[in-house]
Formats: sequence, structure tokens, C-alpha cells
Amino acid sequence: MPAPAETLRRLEAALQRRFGSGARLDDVALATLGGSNRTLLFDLVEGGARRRLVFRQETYRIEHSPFIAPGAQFRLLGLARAHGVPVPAPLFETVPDDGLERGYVMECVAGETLPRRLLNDPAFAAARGRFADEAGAIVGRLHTIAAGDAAFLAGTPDSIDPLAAQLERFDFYGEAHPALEVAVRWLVRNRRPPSRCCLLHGDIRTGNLIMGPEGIRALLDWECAHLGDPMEELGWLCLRSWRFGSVDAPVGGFCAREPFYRAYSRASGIDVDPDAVRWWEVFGFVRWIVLNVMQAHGHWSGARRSPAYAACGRNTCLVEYDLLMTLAGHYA
Amino acid sequence: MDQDQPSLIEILRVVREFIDDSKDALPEKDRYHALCCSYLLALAEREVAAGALPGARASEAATTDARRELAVRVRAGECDADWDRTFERVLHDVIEKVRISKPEHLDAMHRRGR
Repeated sequence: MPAPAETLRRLEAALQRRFGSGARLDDVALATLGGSNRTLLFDLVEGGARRRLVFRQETYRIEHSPFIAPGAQFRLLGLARAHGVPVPAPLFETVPDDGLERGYVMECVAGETLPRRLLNDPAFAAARGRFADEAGAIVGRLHTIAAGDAAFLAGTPDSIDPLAAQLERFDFYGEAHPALEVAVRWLVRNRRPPSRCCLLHGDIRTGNLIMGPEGIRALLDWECAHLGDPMEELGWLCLRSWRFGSVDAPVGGFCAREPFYRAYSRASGIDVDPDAVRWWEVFGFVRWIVLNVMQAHGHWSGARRSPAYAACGRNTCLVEYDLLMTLAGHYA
Repeated sequence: MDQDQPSLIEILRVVREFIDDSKDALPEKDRYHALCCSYLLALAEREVAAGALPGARASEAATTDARRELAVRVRAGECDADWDRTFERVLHDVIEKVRISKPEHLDAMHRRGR
């Protein structure tokens, strides 16, 4: 990976190739350390005009990665946008001549993503009140996109057999987690018949929705997209891990299931099967355990060290606890 | 009690590395304290590496083996006939891990009285 100053110089050159030699880079900020991407925010200055943009760069490639390539993420932004799903407008993908890591540039959507602020700050009270209808409509519209329109995701392990994909990753990390095995065994013994297949964002949860006081502005972070059962997406959004203290509001800490399901069915034409959602919630816990084990593995293997990733290892048991309490019927 | 990754020594090390990397950005008055923290954590790392917790190490290996064996048996379906007891055993172990990571995460039914 080039040094930060060199990255910025190359990014500015990439912008000049696409927007003219007068294009300038200004007010650069490093947003967050994502799962596999580095996110740079910057202003593109063209004459007197100024636009806030985002550069998503792939900085971490590992065996059995659960993340799709930046090129696929870029294509999905265009596809989602064409179907009325609010996403940041995609601008361009990097090419080898840019001398940058694989990535893409998109518009920056201003707003809030911090879960506890969204769930508790009075400034977002109106947005919270609208969440069931809005989120239901957005997820519903997304699920009207046929799997065939995103056929480039058909070879992703999660599109082929999501449970096998988790286990393959988990086994690669070499840890023993009986709680995960209990859930996997339960999933196998209660396996559900195959349902319909559509494009899934794969990571719709509190934290990946950017919101303003008026409501949802965009659905971010498409790196886990794949094809699959629409109920998988609903189960993931209802996972207890995304309720951030608002445990009695199953849909991301925002609202009850029923109004969200109703809005979803209206927009998608798909009936919600609550038992299927429950099955996918148990699956979601398994997946979230595997993702935490992956982050810890990235740390202790030396591939990508940080206190945050180290903490993920010790947070795995919190997910295991919620999973077992859910399976035992203590948590809804 | 066996815990997930990272190990105790790794936790000490990552905290020390973080402090080392950020100490120059601290105000002058805090920099010395940061150097002391780094020194103390490096000392603790060495002490653990030298076997300051020998008893814990032996029992840790035994628990890891038991956990691994249980994981394999559950996946193979060998615990299906004894599901409830297996579930209780696994839950018990997870509760013990949560007590170290974040005790306040436990439901009231599993919290210890003050």
C-alpha cells in the first residue's frame, strides 16, 4: 500500500484524468477502519465548485474473505440506485494505471450512523417514528431486484450455501467454539426448504444506515452482498446485536417486527415468514461470531493489528451468549 | 477458564503498542505517564511469558482440549441424544467467558449478587 501522502497524490491525479487538469483534492479525512476497506473523505474542487466525495479502497485481502471485490460493490451501487434504493451515487472505479489499491469513488452522503445517537437522541425522534415504514420500503424495493440482474454474485460462497460458507471460514481460523457448533447443529436439524432467491445487501443493520432527522438517507457498505433468501436479510436486521440497548425493539433497536414486516411486504410483494426469519436470526448469530473470530484472527496472526480487532476476539462470547439465550427462548 | 483469542499476553501487548503509537500526540504532561504505562505493560508481558501464571497455563491447555473435543462432537451430531445437558454445559462456559469480557452483558438471571 502506498504511503498516505503518495495515495493522496495518486488520487488527485486519478481525479484530474477524469474531471480535468484543474481538479484539486482538499479537506481529506480518514473515516473509519472498515472490515476490509479504507474510507477516505475529501472535497473535489473544480473551479469554484466543491463536492464531498468518498474513496473506498480495499486494503485487506485474506483467504476465505467474506467480502466481495470493490468492483462488484461499485456495480451494485448503480443497480440499487436504478431500483430506487437510496445509496451514494457511484462515480468511478480505480484502474491499474491509477496506481491505487482496488477501489472506487462515490458521492458522500452527509448524516449520522452512530447507533446510540440514532436510537436515543431527540433530534432523531421523527426519523425513529418513520423507521418501520421507511426501512420496510427500502429493503422491500431492494428485494424486487432479481438474482439474474446481479448474476456476477452467483459464484460468491454466500450465494451458493451460506451456512457452508460460514463454516469454511470458521474452520480456517482454527478456533473451537462449542456455542457456535450448538447453533450450527440446530440450524442443520431445523433446515428450511429453499425459498426464493434475490439480491441481498447482506449487512443491513443499525450502523450501515445513514440517517438525518427526517429519516433514512442511504444504505451503506455493500461488501457483504450476495444472492439468497430474502428472509436472511430480515433475520440479520433483527439480530439482537444491532439493538444497542433498545432490546425490546427487534428491528435494529428502532421498532417492532410487525409494522416493518407489513411495509416490507407492501414494497416487495413477498410474504414474511416469521419462523424463517427466526431461523435466519440464529444463522445471523453464527455469522456474527465468525466475523468476530475473523477480526481477532487478523489481529493475532499479525495480518492487521489493532486494539479494536483484538477486542473482537473477546467480544465473541457476548454474541454466543445472546445466541444461546435466544435458542433457549429467553430472548425474543 | 479458557478464553477466546487474543491471549492475555496479546492483550497486554496490543495496549502497549497503542500507547506507544499515540503517546507523541498526547499533551506534554501526559507523555511521561504514557511512557510509564508502556514500561509497566512491557514488564507484565515478560512476566507472563516467563510463566508467572503456571497453574493457569496447564489448566488452560486442558480446557482448550476439552472444548475442542466438545465442538467436534456437537458438529458430528454425537450430542443430539443428550442435547439439553450439552446446551447447559455450553451455556455455562459462555457465561464464564462473559464474566471476564463484560459481566454487565449478562441477563439478571446469570448475574452474581453484589
